[in-house]
Amino acid sequence: MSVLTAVLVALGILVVIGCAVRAAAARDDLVRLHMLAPVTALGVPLLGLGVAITASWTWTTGTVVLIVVLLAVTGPPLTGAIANMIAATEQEDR
Amino acid sequence: MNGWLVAALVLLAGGLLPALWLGATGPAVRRLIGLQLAVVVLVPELILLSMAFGQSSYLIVPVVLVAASFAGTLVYTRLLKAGG
Amino acid sequence: MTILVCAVLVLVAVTGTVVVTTRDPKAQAVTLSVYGLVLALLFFALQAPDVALSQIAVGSALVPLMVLLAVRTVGKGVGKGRDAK
Repeated sequence: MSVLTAVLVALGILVVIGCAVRAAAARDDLVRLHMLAPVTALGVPLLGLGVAITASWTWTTGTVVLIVVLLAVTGPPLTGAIANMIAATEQEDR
Repeated sequence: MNGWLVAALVLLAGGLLPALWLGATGPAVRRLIGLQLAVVVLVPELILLSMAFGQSSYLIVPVVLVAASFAGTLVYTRLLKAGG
Repeated sequence: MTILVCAVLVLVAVTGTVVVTTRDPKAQAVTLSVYGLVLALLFFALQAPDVALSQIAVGSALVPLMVLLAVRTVGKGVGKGRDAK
């Protein structure tokens, strides 16, 4: 594992852990939901870039890029769907 | 014990534990956020583990996890809302 | 490697206990999915990716659908029973 890979993977893990801890510590459900976006848009891509640099042009890199892209594409619609559900639930409570 | 495995263990302790706690307490809506967070943390965890094992063919598991969890979460948002 | 398997085994035990002690069926269904994810991680850590693949396919797409539809149907049945009385 090269130094650049180690730094990128460490950064990605730090972002993921920071977001997970903040999501667990937050009081509002919508604030928790906002913590999902940095993980899919920043944390996992950083980690994937680290893996891609180590693996160079192999199937490993291709699969990791596919995973990162899939996660980044499916993230926002799911966040929106959950937010809609939260809004509907709060309206029923009132 | 290589660097990938250490990274996977750190991610397991720091990332998956809060997600599991979120997915195990409170009403169904909050648990659904915990489930989604657990998926998002589990994907890099599985990538790190397959690097630690040195088996790039294992990477198909996180691909399927992303696709299947997309369908599963949509089912939850649909049915939990409709059921009131 | 042993540390990883031990840690994930403890997680499986704790999450399973939480699923059993949850009372609300809907919240229980979501936690059951979380339990399925941890179980898939255990299979993966034991280097059985094919089993983890089946667990993910069944646990995160089919189980929520079946459990929530069942909860819904049972809830409707109870409502009708009360109306009849």
